[in-house]
Amino acid sequence: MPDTAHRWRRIETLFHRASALPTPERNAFLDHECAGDPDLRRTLQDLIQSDSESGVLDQAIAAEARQMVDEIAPGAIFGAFRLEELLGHGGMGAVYRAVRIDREFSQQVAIKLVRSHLRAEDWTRRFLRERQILARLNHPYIARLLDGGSLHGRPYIVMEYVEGVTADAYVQQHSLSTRDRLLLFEKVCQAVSYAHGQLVVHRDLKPQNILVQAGGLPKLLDFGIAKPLEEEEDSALTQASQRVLTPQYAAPEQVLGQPITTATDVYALGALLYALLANQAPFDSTGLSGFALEKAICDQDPPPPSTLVKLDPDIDAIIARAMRKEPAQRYPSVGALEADLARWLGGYPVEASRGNWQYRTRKFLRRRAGAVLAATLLAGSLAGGFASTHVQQQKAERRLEEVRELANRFLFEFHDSIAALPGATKSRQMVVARAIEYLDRLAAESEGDRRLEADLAAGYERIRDIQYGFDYGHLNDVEGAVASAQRALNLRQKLLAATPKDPAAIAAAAKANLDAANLLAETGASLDQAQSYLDSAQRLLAASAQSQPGALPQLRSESAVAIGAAAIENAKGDGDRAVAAARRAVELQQKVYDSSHDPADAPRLLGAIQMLGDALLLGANRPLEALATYQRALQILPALPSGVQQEMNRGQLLARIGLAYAIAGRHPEALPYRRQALAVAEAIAARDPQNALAARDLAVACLNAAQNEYKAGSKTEAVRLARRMVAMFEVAMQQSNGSGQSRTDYAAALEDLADYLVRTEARAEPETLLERAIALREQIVRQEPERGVYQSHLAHAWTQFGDSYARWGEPGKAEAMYRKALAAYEKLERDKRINGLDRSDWDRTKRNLANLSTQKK
Amino acid sequence: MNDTGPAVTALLQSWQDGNRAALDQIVDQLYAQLRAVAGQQLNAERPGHTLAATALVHEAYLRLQANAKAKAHFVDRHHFLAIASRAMRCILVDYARGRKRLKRDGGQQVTLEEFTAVTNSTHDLLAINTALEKLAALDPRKVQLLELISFAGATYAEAAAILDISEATVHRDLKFARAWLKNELNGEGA
Repeated sequence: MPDTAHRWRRIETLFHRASALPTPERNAFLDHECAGDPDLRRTLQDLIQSDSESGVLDQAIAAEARQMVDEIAPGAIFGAFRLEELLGHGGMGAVYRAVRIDREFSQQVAIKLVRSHLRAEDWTRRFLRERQILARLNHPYIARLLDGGSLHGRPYIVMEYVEGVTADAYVQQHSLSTRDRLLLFEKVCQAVSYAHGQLVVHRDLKPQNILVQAGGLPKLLDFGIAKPLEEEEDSALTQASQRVLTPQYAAPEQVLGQPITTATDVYALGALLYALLANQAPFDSTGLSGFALEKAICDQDPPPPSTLVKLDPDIDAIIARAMRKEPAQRYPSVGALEADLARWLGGYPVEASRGNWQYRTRKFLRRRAGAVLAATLLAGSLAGGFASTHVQQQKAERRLEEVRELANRFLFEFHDSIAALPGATKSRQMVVARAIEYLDRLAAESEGDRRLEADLAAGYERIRDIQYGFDYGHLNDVEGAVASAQRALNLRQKLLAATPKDPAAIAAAAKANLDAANLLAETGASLDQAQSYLDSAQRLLAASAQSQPGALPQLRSESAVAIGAAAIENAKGDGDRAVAAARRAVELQQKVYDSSHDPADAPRLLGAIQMLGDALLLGANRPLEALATYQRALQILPALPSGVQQEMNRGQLLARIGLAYAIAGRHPEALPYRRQALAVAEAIAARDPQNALAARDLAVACLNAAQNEYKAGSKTEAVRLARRMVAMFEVAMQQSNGSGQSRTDYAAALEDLADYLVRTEARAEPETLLERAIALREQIVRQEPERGVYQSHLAHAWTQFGDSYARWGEPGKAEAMYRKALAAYEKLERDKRINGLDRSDWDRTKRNLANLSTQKK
Repeated sequence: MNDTGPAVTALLQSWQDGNRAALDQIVDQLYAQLRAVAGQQLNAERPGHTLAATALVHEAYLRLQANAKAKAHFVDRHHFLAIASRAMRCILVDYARGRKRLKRDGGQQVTLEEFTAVTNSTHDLLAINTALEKLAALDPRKVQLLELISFAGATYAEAAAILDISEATVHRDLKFARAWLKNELNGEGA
């Protein structure tokens, strides 16, 4: 016994000593310490290896506890129901047999308490959208959806209670012949086909969702239920990360987050038939990570079922045809699949055999799609273990080192490789969302591992720059960037707390504080918080300047803080203070640049000068001084590295100069600048026709030029430009899948064009344009009620519509529009979201309404 | 709420004094608390649904303490954690065993959803339990530490205080214990 204890102590001591060493030295150390004891050597090697993996205990506990809590519930009263018995639970939540207790007759139902990442109200909203359609499904083989919603913050679904056995268990328990299995399967097809006729896709067909009742008749459960749990179509975030389906039966397009159609159900039916005949799922998930499983689904063919059980190769062919990777290559409909089965049952040759099982999906994996596929899979592999499906949760364990390396590859190489791809925005947004999910999860487990924490901070910082950074291709997601910046900052502070004297840690924390402050200033929200970040940065920089004497570093720090302060003042909107802060920033940064002559300091100088110009123009309303400032910025431009970035800056400055002239009321002088800005934007867009940001800049330049042409140039040219920009914004909206920003842009474009037409053209066209614009804006407000700026846009549009009706001699309609606008401004004021511009628009609306009544008299 | 506060307090003392049977009773009591918490969970306004074991322990503790205070008793949190961590392990392992049995006996009701995952996690916790027993024979303090941290959600500082060791030792012990556990579960036991 003392021997064992002694050995145990020795293992532990050596383990700690060895883990503290870098790998090469560690091996030498182990060789030395374990000389003549290979067992000891191996044990230590294994332990050190295992040390880098984690979470096994905590995950098992969490899984068990969650199940237990679900199961504890029977007997509980849930709204109008009493939960009688737990029937089962899985990825989507627990299902109970329940009885209605608020009626005279007791109705037996099944209640699913949905476990979802969604907030209850989001779930309810989405569910209600689907309920009408789902409740209409009325088919003998489909379990009826009775109700659903959320109660006490808990989403639930009430459905017909079905007594039966899952399809896979049923066919095995009754040892059904192939023919009988096919006959059962045909009935399932009938139900799915019926639902497709009602425009409902199941999305999650699998043996466990099909109960076979005592008489051998199937009932399909959960029809369409997966949809409200999935990501909204028009949302920019990934669909895949919040997928609820069972990966084993998921179609490639589901794994890839691509559109789901009836072809998705055709695939799942193929997989279902596979499972019913071969007694196993086509893709065996045992021992596979979520990533490996998803990868297999996307680029491997499952073993033909006839290699597993005795089966006619024609059946192989039918299943293979249904399970093609490319949706278009599958049976065009469930009916076509059924027809082929009927051919087989009738002894005729089947359609599917014309293809062959080894059909490879080369076309599907052609170059570009290949990159997107890799994006999804790589992202999937990062987040896979942490995604909401529990099967993936089971696979969550993976080696930290491996994941970390993957993350680096993914963040730093992969993202960049798709960044330039046309139409990649959505994929990139998805990649970012996945990466954040992964980083968050890793952060939760990083406690005490400094190297990992530093990596995580760098990861968040990288994500932050992708979301909203200095690169041309950022995703324009300020809020997301703020969140990432704050996460990075927390980690940097923590690291700093661990090594308060380390200059690198101080510098990193200072930079993180600065970045967070600048981003918050950019959003215009939480400016006090921004100020406090800036103060922390200043303290840290002052401390590090002491340890790093020299004029330049100190000057750089001061300048960085001054730029941050100017950004905050700019956001606060006190023009004079903003100007003063920006002046100081320019002064300091000019000194930095003068003493360093480092081209890397030039962009910041340019930024400071431009900020000063903006403060003068927009904050202090001193357009002429602003003009001079922008001109000065133009002169610095050649010091910047040449390329798109420089061109873009030039375009921006030209546009600002045009704007300054316009604000000063000197429209004819503005015109040449607006035209130049337009030409620059054209050139950039022409060089990179697929770049969405470039396209947007061009459209904005069109918009500005159109305004200018209308005021000081050619009205015909104005309308021509406006029509062009409307078309461009429309395309952008479609390409971005209707993101909030793109719809706002499009609505604004419609309003501008309507404004030009309303004075010259017949009423029909501008009226239609305005109706479209307002419908869009109303939709945006409904979807993002928290953002006051959208409400103020809508109010503005109503006022414009009111003005137009007044012009068309319809005071009644005009008044209705004005009143809507007034109500919106009142609400903005009540919610304390009103700004100065809104107030002046509000006053204008009141005036116009008053004019209307004097006109009526 | 049911009146379990003082009883548990007494049981805690009794267990501390060496009465092993008290543990079973405490487990029963705690289990009742957990049920109550979970039942209430159903009808409580609460965003999300992430009631983990540690959250259960925390809630159970708050309840016990509320009850105990009313009776002018004070349940020391460290004291409570020491026992709750063991109790929580018993409860979850028993539960996992029960479900595995149900599954094996083909307690076939209607299975609305896949049970595969359930079996996997059951296996995990039971395998972990076996490994923990093995570790207890070698180094009981490390098992206690794992129980405190992972089953009861104790902080490192709390665990250090309860076990009367430094926080640095908590870190070291945990690192080693987790590596050992992981290694054991990989079937490469030392």
